[in-house]
Parts: sequence; structure tokens; C-alpha cells
Amino acid sequence: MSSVLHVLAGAPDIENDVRTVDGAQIHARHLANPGAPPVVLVHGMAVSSRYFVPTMRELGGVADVWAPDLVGHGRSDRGPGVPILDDLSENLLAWMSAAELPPAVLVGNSFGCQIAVEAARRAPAAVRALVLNGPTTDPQARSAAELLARWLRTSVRESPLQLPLLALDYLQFGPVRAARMVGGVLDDAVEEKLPHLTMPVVVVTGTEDPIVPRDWAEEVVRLLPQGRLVLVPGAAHTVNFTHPTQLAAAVTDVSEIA
Amino acid sequence: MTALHVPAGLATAGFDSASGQLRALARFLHGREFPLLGLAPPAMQPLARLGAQALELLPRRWRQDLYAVGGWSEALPPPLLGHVRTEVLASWITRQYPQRRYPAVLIGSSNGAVMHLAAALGVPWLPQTLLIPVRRGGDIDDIDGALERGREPAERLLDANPELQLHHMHDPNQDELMSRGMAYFRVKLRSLPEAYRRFLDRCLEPGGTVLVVDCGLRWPTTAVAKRHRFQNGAFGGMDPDDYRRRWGGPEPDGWSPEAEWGYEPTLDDDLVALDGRHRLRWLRFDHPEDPSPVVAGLHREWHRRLGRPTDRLLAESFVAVEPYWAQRTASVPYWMAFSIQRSMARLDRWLADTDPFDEIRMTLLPHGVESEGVATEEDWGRVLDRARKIGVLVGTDVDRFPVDFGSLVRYQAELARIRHRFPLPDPLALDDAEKLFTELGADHGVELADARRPHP
Repeated sequence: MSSVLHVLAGAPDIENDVRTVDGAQIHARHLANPGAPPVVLVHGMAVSSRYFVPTMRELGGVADVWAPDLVGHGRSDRGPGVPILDDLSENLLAWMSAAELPPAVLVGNSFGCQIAVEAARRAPAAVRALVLNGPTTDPQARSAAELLARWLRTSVRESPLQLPLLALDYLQFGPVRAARMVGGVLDDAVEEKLPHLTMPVVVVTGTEDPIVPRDWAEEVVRLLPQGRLVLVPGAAHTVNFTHPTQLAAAVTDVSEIA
Repeated sequence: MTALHVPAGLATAGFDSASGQLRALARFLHGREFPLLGLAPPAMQPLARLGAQALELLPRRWRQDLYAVGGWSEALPPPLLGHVRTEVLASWITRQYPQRRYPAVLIGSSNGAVMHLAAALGVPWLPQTLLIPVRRGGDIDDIDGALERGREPAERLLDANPELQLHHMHDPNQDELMSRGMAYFRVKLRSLPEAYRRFLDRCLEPGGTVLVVDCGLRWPTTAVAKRHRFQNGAFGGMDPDDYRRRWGGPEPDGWSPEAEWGYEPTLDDDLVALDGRHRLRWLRFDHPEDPSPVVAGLHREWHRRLGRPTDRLLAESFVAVEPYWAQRTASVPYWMAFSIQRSMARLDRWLADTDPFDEIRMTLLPHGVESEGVATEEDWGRVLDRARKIGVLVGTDVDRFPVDFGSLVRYQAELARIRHRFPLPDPLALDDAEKLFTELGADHGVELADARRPHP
């Protein structure tokens, strides 16, 4: 309960940072820790940085924590059309250089993992390490129907407390735009990119996550030259919201932040 | 054989080291996987999963009671023991295997690592030891009483089966639940049954090899009658003296081959007589887990020669094994007799000395009680942490272990979902295996010899 109250009540120590990136206003949540290594949290499809607040709090003591709303999402500008993977990873990298971040740890959730992977592939020097929580999409579920079925199954396993938050995000994004975005999510053959990532990567997956069954999570790890698997018992797809302590531990572990 | 004989499937325990390894290997040689420990058709898997889920809703004590009831229901009523026949058991065993010519046949001790060796060679194994569970009542902590109650049924069994030697095993530590309803009658073959001889004639290639699996593990026993010994305690988390101290029991009068794992050398004479018709080799070791690192090393080298990955380890417990998917996923098998601290420590020591694995998967044996020496999260955690990428338990619900019977339903299905996989390889040539075994065995106390073990 405390996490949902924190999120809804707003958090005085988390600043709202707004800067112009390629002509668009990009909003980010920032829990400042000057001099500490930067960690950037990358949200999933059609949602916003809001569900990262519990993880931000866990990391605040050891990292300079950022959670941008990528173009078209949350409180950032909508941008032209429905954003696709290329736009979002480009937007993430542009925002990171606008914020003048040194090489950062990227932490993705769900589709945010695809964005983080694409960004790491394009600009490996900007990415110190990756944490992939619930990496999409399983090649064995690469159809809208299968993805929807798995998403419905995960919904009943998540904390009911996050439903209002995500519902708000989806409404703000627009259900029709979200539906149009799914095709782009499914087009990405992420498994072909993983063998090219040379930085350390931790894959964090809930043992009750139907979207990312364990055999797919294991395959992701196998394909990564420096991958490692962390299982979170009892968690479903949004470990960042339901089990922030475990996710934060994986972040500090992979990036060797004390 | 008259119709009065007890069918072998009824006379022997389904959930046992010997019958379990036998089913796993037989299914493998038929090209089939090993779902539900081979106890039910694969189509039952969804139903079994549901059943396991339902059982998990019950309180821990009830689940343990069900386990005990399961043991009792599988056990043979004592009057039927006089109707058990060795030849019925032996032909039931040989019938499980595909009837074709093999370059070798293994005979002897039950051993999960040796089962994988047989699978790699594509050859069968004929057990020397079987478990006949016998219905019983009484206090499981009363060791002398257990011995006494075993006398009469044992007499019936042994009178009808002169080729058998009975090791009545009573283990109030690890078998606390099963022992409530059943006595563990482990029988060892002292001579080669006709069915085994016929199988060798029919299915061993001319000049083929009989490989005797000789596990030298011994335990103090008390002679009860001719060919009848009583074994207080069993190989596992405690030593013989620990049992005597805690539970008392009859004074031992000698050492015998351990009831479950040890090889009874009386069988040697019949085997030696085969020489000339078949080539005889002896696989000798003292501890049931001695062959595990050797068989693992052999698989690693075999996978390397096949051009397959060598960085996957499958650490298995007891009969929670899967030779089919081990080979299909290029997983190096390492077998542990039980999920006990000692077994995990041995595995951990071997891992410390060998090239690291990227992936380590482990199955656990949920035997239902917090017995002395049972492994804890710390024990398997230490092993799994040695994996560079993936270190996971397979099928286990950590919170429920060791009262986690659902894991036996789940582990195989999880292994069958591993994605990076290959076709079944052609069997490893016996020559190659013998060379590798000789090379690797020396470091682990495993010997491939031309002659029987000298008698003590």
C-alpha cells in the first residue's frame, strides 16, 4: 500500500525535470544524488515513468536516478504519430546526452527492455550495464493475440494496487494509439541483437510472469555474452513496482555500485 | 509360471532408485522422454499438475500423511510375499528394453550417473537390487520390533526364491514417512536369472561387453536368517553409528553391501562364467557418487567432439533425472544420490576444480521430511552461484521443500522447455567411452577393470 500512496501523493524528493530534446519537451523524474553513478529507468509501452517510483526510492542512496517519459508517453510531448522502437531508443539517447549523463546503467521493464537493448546496440559507449526486467517479446508469442492473452494472464497476478496507475497511463497515452503501437513492438527481433551486446547484463524475471516465461528469460541470458539471470520468486511482470528491493539489488550488483 | 505369481509391477516399488533409473533408461532407449517419472502416460501431465496444485493447498502435515499413505498403498501384503518370483521380476525388467542387439549390457548396482553412461552408449542396464515394499505397522522408532516383524514375511519370500538375498533396511531418518506403512525389503540377485541370460543371448552382440557395475558401499548389518540381513539406517545424511546412538537397535555382526546401492559379489561367479562368450569388464567404485564427476567429464568431452556447447550442467537428485532432455539440450549430467548436504558439498568441490559452467540446473528429491543432513537453500545456493549465467532449481518450490511432491511432476516439463536444443546424438562408441572413463576415473576413485574385485 505504501508504494501506491507514495506514487499517487507525489514525492517531494523526486524532482520533475523538463528539457527540450529534438524540439520536444521531455519530462523525467529525477532523484538527485550528485556525483553518484547514473541509473536510467526505461518504461514499457504506453505507460510512463510513474511505476518506477518505488525502484527510484530503493536506488536513491547509491545512484543518481533518472526516469524519463519517452516521447509520446506520460507528461512528455506527444511527437508526430505513434512512436516506434527506433524513435524511442533515439529519443532515449538524445535525452541522455541533453542531460549530459556519463555512461549509465539502463534499467528496462517489458518493452522498455527492447528500447534499452536498441539504445545499447547503437551507443555502447553510453551504456555501462543493462538490467532487463521482463524482456519482451518472446518469439514464441510474437502475435498480438498471444501477447494479449499473456498480458491478461499477468494482469491478475500483479499487485491490484498498480492497476489505477497503469490505467491512468494507458488513458493518457490513448488506447487506440497503444493498440497501433503493438505491431512495432512485435516487429523487433530482439534475439538477434542480444549476442552483440558486450556490456554486463542482468535479466530479472518474476517466477509468475506469463509474458516472460522462464524458458524465454533463460534464452535471453544465454544469448548475451555477459548475461546473468536473477529470478524473483512470486513476482509477475512489473518487478519494478511489486518487488523494487530485488530489482534495485540487481542494479547495484551488475553495475558494482556499492 | 502359474497365475498365482505376483506381477512384477505390483511386487516392486515404483518410486525407487532401481525401478526409477530402469524406467528412465528404458524410455530413453525407446527414444522417449521421462515425464511423471515414467509412472503415468505423458498425456496425464496436465492432470497431474492440477492434482499437485490441489495437494499443495493442504496443510504440510496432511501432505506428509498422504505421502505415508502412498507408501502403504504401494506395499505388498505379507501373505503375498511367498508368491513373488525372481524370474517374473527379471523378465519384467528385460521386457522394458527395446529387443535389439547392443554392443554392451550393464549389470549391477543402481546408480544415476551410470544410467547416464548407459544412455550415452545406447545400452541397457539390468539391476541387481530391487525394492519390494511390504506392508507393516508399528512404531518406526522401534528398531528391534521392525526386525522382528520382518522375519515371517522374509521367510516366505526367501523360501520361494533361493536366488535372492534380502537386506531388510530400516531408516527412521530419511524414510520416516514411507516407513510408517511399509517395510523396505531390498533384494539382491545372488545368481543370474534365466531371463537375464536369455536377454544376453538375444540382445548382446556376439563378443559384446558385459559391464558389471560394482559399487563397494557397505553398511553394518545383523544376520537374521540365511540370506536375510537387517540394516539399521541407510546411506544418506547420517552415519551407521549415528543411527545406533539415536535409535539403538540390534547389535551388528558384520558389514554387508549397502542395501540400496551396494553390489553383492556372490553374483560374480555366474558373471565370470560368461567369460569366453562375452567380454567382461568391471566398473568399480566405493561411493555411489564417485562415478558422477567421471560421467559428467565424459559427457563434456563427448559434447565437445560433437561440436555442441559444453557449458550446461544438469545436477540431478535420486530419480528426478531426464536422460532424453539432458542429451537433447547438451546438458552435462551430474547425479546426486539424495538432496543432502553431503551430496551438494561433493558437487561443490568438483565444480571448484573444473572449468566453470554457464548454466547449472538442479533437480531436488522431495522426500517429505526435514531429515538429518537434508540440504538447505544455503547448500544448493552455493552450487548454483557457481554458474556464470544461469543457476536455477528446476521444478522446486523452495518454500515447500522437502514436502514439495509437485516438483516431481514439474521438473521434467521445465527441462523439456529449454530452448537451445539439438537432435539426439548417435550413441558414444564403447571404445571411446572406456578410454575416457579410464582417463577421468583415476582422479575420482573409479576403476574400469578386467577382473572382479578381490574378496575381502
